[in-house]
Amino acid sequence: MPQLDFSMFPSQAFWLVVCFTLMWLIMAKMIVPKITDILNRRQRKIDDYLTAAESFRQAAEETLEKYENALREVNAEALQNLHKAAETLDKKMADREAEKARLLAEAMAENERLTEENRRQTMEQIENIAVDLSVLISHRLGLGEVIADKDVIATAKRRQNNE
Amino acid sequence: MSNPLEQFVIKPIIPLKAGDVDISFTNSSLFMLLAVVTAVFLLSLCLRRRTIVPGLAQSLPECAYGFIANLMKENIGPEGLKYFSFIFSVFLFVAFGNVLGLFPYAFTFTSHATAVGALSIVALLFNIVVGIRKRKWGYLRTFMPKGIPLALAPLVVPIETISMLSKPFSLTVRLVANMTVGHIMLKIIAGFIVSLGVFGAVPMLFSACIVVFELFISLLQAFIYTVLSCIYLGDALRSH
Repeated sequence: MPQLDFSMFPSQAFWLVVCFTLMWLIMAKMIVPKITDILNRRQRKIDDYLTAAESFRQAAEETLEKYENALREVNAEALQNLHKAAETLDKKMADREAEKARLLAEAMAENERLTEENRRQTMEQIENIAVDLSVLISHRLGLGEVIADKDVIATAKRRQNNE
Repeated sequence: MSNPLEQFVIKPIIPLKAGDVDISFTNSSLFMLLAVVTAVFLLSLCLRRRTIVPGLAQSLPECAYGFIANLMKENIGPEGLKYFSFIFSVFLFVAFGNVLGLFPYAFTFTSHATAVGALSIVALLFNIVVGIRKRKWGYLRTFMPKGIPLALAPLVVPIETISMLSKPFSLTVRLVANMTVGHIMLKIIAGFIVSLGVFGAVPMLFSACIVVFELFISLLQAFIYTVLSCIYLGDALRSH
């Protein structure tokens, strides 16, 4: 068997050590650094992308929070404005009602005054008519001008005052 | 029919002598060198343009890297990656040696116990050096594991020593036997193709199947050699 040719043993071992050492050196100095370099670069890139994605997510969350806060504030403000408007409206309504009540009271007072005036004038007229009538009756009855107009009036007035 | 063992004959190409020792550059040396050149050439070609998103060519060395790196993480632990280049070289050297040997008229240096034995001894020396550098005197624990009574030392120390020295032996025999047998079988069946004339088509078809099978065996044996080297390296780095 050629494998058992002892004369070739040193050469075999020598060249194997030489070739393997060569292989090892080339792998360690050239090939493996190239592979690890690209793998590291890829890993860094993936990590970068992941970090970027994470920061984007955080930014989105912050924006959402800001938006929600703003929405809350606006809602509160709107509610406040609504309350204010309702208050103003209530006040205006009350004012207007008071004004109306005042006007009504004034109109009623005026009315009363006019009614009283009317009554007084009417009474005066009745009185005058009564005097005139009494003068006329006495005249027709032939009592002559016994009773002067002025006397009648004065008598009537006295009577009125006496009552 | 030619002798199926003829393919394993070592022929000097450039005669060299160092003192009295014959270190001629032989057909075996040529194929060792070819394995290195082919591996380096192919990997460099694949890694010529490196992009973040790998193409088909670039993903091949990356897959090989990931494969060996995983193997080392599982068998040695994360700190084992420091010795990645060594194990990676072992894998590529054996794999390319096996696969190149499948080409017609090629020489399979992994079928020679001297060559593979030298590689196994290099690996053993590497383990010892790494183990001593990592664990200092603690490395001696390899021969006398913790928890064993001192009285048993005369028994345990020789056993552990034999166990350690037998590792390269078992590595070598496994690989060499697989490669030798496979190549002898290929050669015998290939011999039938010519001698059977027209009916040679049958062994030719069979031979084609065997070549595919041998390719699988070549890679599998390279893988086994690498896994065991990893485990032995892991043993050297840890006390058991």
